[in-house]
Amino acid sequence: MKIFKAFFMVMRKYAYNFTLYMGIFCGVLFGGVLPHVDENTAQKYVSPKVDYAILDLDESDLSKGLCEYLEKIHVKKEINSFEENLVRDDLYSRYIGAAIVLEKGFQEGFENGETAKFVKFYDIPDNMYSVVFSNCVSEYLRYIRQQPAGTSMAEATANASETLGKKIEVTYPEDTSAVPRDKTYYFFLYMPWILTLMMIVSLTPVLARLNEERIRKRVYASPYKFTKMNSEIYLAMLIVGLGVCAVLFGIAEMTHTVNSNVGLYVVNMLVLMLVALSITFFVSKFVKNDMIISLIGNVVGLGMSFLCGVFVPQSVMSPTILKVAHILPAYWYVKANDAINAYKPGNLSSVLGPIGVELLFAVTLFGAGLYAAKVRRVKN
Amino acid sequence: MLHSLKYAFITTVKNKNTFVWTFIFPIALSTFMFLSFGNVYKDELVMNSIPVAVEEGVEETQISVQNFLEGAKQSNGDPYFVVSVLSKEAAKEALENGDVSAIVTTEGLTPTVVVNGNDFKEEIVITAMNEYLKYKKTIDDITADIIKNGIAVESGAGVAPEEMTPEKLAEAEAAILAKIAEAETDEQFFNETSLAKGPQNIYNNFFYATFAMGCLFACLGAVNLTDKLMPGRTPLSGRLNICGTSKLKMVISQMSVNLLVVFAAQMGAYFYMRLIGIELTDDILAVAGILLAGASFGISLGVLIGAIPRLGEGAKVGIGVGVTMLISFLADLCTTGIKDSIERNMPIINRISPAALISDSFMTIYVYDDYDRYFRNLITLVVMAVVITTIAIFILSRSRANKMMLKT
Repeated sequence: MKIFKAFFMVMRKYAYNFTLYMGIFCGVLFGGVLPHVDENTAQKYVSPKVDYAILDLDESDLSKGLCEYLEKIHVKKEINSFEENLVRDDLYSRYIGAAIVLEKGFQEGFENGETAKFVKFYDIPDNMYSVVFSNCVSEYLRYIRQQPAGTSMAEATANASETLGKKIEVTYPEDTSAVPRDKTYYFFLYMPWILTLMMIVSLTPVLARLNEERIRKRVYASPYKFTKMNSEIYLAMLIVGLGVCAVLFGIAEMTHTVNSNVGLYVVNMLVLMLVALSITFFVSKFVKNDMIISLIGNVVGLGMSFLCGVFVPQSVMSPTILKVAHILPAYWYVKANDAINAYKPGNLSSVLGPIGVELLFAVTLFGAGLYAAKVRRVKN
Repeated sequence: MLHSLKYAFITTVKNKNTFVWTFIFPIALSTFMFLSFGNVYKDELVMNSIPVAVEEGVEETQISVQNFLEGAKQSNGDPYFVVSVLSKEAAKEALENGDVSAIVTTEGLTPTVVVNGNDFKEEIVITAMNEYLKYKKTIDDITADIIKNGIAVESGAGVAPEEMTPEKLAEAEAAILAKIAEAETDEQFFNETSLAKGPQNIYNNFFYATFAMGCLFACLGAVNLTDKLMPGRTPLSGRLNICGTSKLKMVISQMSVNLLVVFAAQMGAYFYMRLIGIELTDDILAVAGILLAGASFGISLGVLIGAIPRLGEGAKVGIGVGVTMLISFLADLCTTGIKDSIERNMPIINRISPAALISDSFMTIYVYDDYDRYFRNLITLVVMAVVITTIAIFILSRSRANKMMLKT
């Protein structure tokens, strides 16, 4: 097991990469992604809500009625100030989708048909959020306007609250249903990025050192068999991969991020780890320079994640790109992750299919790496 | 000085680190990003006419719904919906394929809506159909009232229930509906104000973060070049440390040339991104300002990391990559919302994080009418770069002094 031991001796030098990327992964996931996950997406239709800010300077029956109505339908958020520059920032960052200021005299203006003079309405032009929100405000005011003559404003706002609550029946197609995505789903979704990046950046330099001509020639001259050498290398990589997966799973457990179908998620992660190791094994046969290794790690990790639906949902990506993404293992990983999220007992084939394709990628890439190593050996 | 500049240029050009991280990497990443979600904003979030299928069913309801949806117009006059009347199977297939955003069923007198998920396009169809229900109820109420009580038409000549004829009923309905329609369309309750001077594509944050990352990756080249100035590293660094040229001069010439190369690479990346169709500002001067300030900071950071004594070059590169990646992610490189979340909870981080400052400067060009915030960001970057460089030069000069003392 000389090569096996040598592997770990060299790896000590690059071990800091694991800590570094694990730290980045935890920072991104726990600092940015998971806090935004809404696990309460229901099976039945739920109206998408627009975050908005409102300032009622009029405090009349009409303005109060409008505020109450909007609060029922959408999500009211507090903003630091209604000063244009600050509202502009909140709109751009999508902290709010619209902001509305009801000036003093709003109700009086409404009664005189001059409502627009007493309303400041800030939004993002031609944007869906704005359309939904402005429709809601218009719907309310239009309803009040259509009340029969003689109805007091208090009565009108009470009627509006009751009548506008009646909605059309909305259903999903019979054989489909939206499955909510919980934190477990998102935790495991980011694996193609971090596992691929971490393995390539941390293990390729180790393999490149073991592949150095000086060392390689000594190994070839020794009684070490080609198969034994490579199986020891792959075994060492496998132990590192399992260690990394164990740490990742431990993080998920400690942070209570794991709560459903955990076994299948772990199987999917382990298969992806094999793919990442095979990519690393393959890359190491061609690249020696640390800088290029780092570049490849980042390009492959980030590139696959962008193209295969890790950072951006597959549902919003163009069909052409998704077709191209079929040739990348991360696409199948995301497919499997989706299937696990929607998994119901008896429907295992929808999960095992994509995982099987991932395995094929792992075997193919490992085989290609072995072939490259053999060709080089023959040349030597 | 000229001599130093010349050799700094040769070493910088020969050092592929700078070129790869500040040109190749941003180009590769922005291409992936563009392919992945380049048109998401235009396709998903900008308000275009929404395709809706009206399912064949009760003819009266079907025609009524179709007319209602086709008549809905946006403020710019464009229709809200593109309506197709389809059979049940065809409508279901169209919804599954994403050809329509919703199906309106008309099997009974009251329509229902079938959707795939919870999305804003679907919500607009549902809002419209809620309006339809109210509209339909108003008509039904009026008709029932007329039949029960008779009517007082516009002329003021009343018609008693027993004198009601179908013609008179139709005339009355038309008059009252016209009044409803007038109340619905004529009044503008508010004027929508856009506070931004340019498009507000939130997905552009990814590309801004890519520029930030490119600028900060300039630190890798600087790490490599500075490491060579550390005494005791290589025979070359030994020679550089005992030669007559002051270290300040060497550092400044390395930094100037590096800055020039990184700036050129980043501008190249900017032109490439515009060429492939990424929606970036055409205010080239403003972009050049951001990239220059960003690259200055990146190089200063590299000089500082490179000047850390008793640390191998690999570890220094690792620190450079790690720091750059982390602060780029915090500036929305991988997912939107992180930067905003920081802004709400710990704004100080965004005020000093170079990636956030670079990304924010790009945003201000699009969103703000003046350049106050833009210049505030740039000045912060440059001041931080100067402070970091001063510290780095101090460490570098100390390292030589220490070495000399050890030798004597």
